[in-house]
Amino acid sequence: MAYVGMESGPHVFFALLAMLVAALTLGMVYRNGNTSRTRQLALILAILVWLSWISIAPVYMYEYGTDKAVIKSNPETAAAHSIGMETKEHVFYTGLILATLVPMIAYGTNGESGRRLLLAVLVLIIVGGIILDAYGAWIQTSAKIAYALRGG
Amino acid sequence: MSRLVVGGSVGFFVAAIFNSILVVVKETNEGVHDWLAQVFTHHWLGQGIVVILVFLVVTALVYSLSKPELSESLSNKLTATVVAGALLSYLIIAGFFLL
Repeated sequence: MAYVGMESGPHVFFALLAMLVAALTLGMVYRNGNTSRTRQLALILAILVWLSWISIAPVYMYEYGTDKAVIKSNPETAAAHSIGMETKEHVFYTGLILATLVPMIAYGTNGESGRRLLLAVLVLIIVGGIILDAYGAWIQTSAKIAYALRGG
Repeated sequence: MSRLVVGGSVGFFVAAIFNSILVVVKETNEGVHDWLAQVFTHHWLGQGIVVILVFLVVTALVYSLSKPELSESLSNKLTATVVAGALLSYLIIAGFFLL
């Protein structure tokens, strides 16, 4: 049974969970420093971002094309793809590498110097995640509007 | 282990900038776009795989060349490098599609 509308659900779920883990890790590192628990969380964070990519790849490559055509066919919604999706899909790779760096820093450092680097990367992950989520919301809303306009 | 941090941070910076440049090149050069699509079945998947490979290669290279100590000043430089890489990458990609 196909759950129409849930195609991008796992991608969003893993991404939001990754942001929550990043926020939790940020708080723990800020308060107690880099501990064995934050190292585990850093690894979980990286895995969640990778799962977010793996789960959306087939949807983006093979299914989004239909929505893309409808979004682009309306001048009112075309920017959601040409600016929103184009930026989101490519900036995501910078975020993927950044998330991969988190456990490398967490497991590779001790003390204050590594703590500051880890905090900076976690802040970037959270802020970047919020920005990409905003692009996603724009695309989702524009797709609904585009289909509604097409339906007349 | 700190060599991994140095390697990873530099690897991230290079991969992030490479990612941005590849976007501009791919979107303005049909040959590059088509090559990625042909080799990797989709240009976007191809871009991701190439960026990951750049990250891995640069990380391994810097790892093998760096010293094992992570000093305070080096850590500050790495923090600035990572933040600059992330911001530049976003600004180049977002700016390209916005303008």
